Amino acid sequence: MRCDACGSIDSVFFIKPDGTGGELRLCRRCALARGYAVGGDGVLGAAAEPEPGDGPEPACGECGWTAERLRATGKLGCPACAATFRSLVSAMLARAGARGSYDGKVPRASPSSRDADGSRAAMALSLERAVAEEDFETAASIRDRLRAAAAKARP
Amino acid sequence: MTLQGPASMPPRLGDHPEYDVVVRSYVQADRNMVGTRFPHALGPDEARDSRASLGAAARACGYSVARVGDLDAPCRSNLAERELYSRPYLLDDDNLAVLKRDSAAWLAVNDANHLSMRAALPGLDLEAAWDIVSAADDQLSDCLGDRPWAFDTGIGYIMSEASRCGSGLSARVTLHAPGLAISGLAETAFKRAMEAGFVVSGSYSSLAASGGSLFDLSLPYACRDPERAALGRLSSAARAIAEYERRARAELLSASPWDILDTIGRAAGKAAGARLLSRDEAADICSGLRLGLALGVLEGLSLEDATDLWPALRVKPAQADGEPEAALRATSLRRAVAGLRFSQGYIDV
Repeated sequence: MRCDACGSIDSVFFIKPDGTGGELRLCRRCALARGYAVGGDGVLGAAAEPEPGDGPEPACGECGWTAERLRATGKLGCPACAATFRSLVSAMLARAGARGSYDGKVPRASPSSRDADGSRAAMALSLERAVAEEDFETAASIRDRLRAAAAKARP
Repeated sequence: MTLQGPASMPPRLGDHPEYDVVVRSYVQADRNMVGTRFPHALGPDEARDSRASLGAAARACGYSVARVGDLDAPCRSNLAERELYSRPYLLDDDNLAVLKRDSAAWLAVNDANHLSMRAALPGLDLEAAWDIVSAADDQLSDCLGDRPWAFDTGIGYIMSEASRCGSGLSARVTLHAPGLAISGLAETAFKRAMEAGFVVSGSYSSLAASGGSLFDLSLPYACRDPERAALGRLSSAARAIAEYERRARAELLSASPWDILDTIGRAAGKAAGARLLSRDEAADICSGLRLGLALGVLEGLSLEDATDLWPALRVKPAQADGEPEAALRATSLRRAVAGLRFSQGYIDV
């Protein structure tokens, strides 16, 4: 039976969170994360203890986001989290009704925009900074480079 | 200050597909930048930096950019009522309002994702709206050359909400279906759309399920298909409901014309004579007027102008001499319908 929170297929706990009859099926980890189970001697507690060999769950190397936070909020911390928590993300996508592999638009490669002088956006940002700092000599130089880049990009 | 672009202005007169029933087509594609935390996890400094780089890229691509806090109240109200930005987004003074100067595109920065590219067109024209959004996507990614979008070949575009990773596409069609509402067939029609996997909601209503008989038909959240295929499915569903609505209108007009003509006549009468109008009542009057114009029962006002009354009458007016907002709204409506009249065949039916 699937866990309602993370989609894993080892659902153990049947919980009625508000006493109105709505039932939630949770796996051991999700029940622990939501406070429905605690480590201890009771039946629930004993069942909820981590299995021997279960190490700490990984955290994202870039932003420190954890699998527990992902399960609790449904949100990722940064784009790199998708690779760190790939199986969990796939399970969440499956639960949301996503079927099959991704078949949509892919980002357009833009080598022309990555020239030695940097992207037009970076130049536009530098131009704004130079104007704000009243460094008009630099601003004029960046403006000229920006115009040249725009002319080059024009078909 | 104010900010204007085609997206924040009334629709142009023209031949819009299925416009008698389909009010507008909206397409949105969200993207995120590699190496930057998602908006909900950004610190103030990081949020400022990402806003600055995306704002600069937008300027370089021909968008007008303004801080929400620098916009005057009528401008902010206009952006909210035309559904360019959500109210929570417009409450944060540091957020950016970004409108394309020469097309119906606009951007939201650091909303749910780093960049949200949006376009809306009158009538059923999802494909054209997608072309605008896709072009904006390519143009902005070129501008941000050294900061590509976060993308995984297996998952698709990475979104802040894990269950929305994929194409980052949202799309909806707003339908005007008073015929189905009057004949009690709206529930049946929209239930079928829901069974086919689309999301249905009412719009322009704070009290009822759908004030003004406007309904939104949207794509489901998890979308991994090619964009044009998904939008094609949504277009087909919208076209089927539009046809159903037309049949309901024709049936009403031939079998029991009193109901539908009464709805239209009352709307015309209230529009010409009301001195105080609430937002919800104004929405219902607009619906009646639009129905009358689409059926040829009324004339003297374009369908585009009648459709624009929905958002225009909701924009918070600049208060004049303590006159209540409801009175200002009624005055605006009376002026807008000054040339409205019944068509020859319906003057005394």
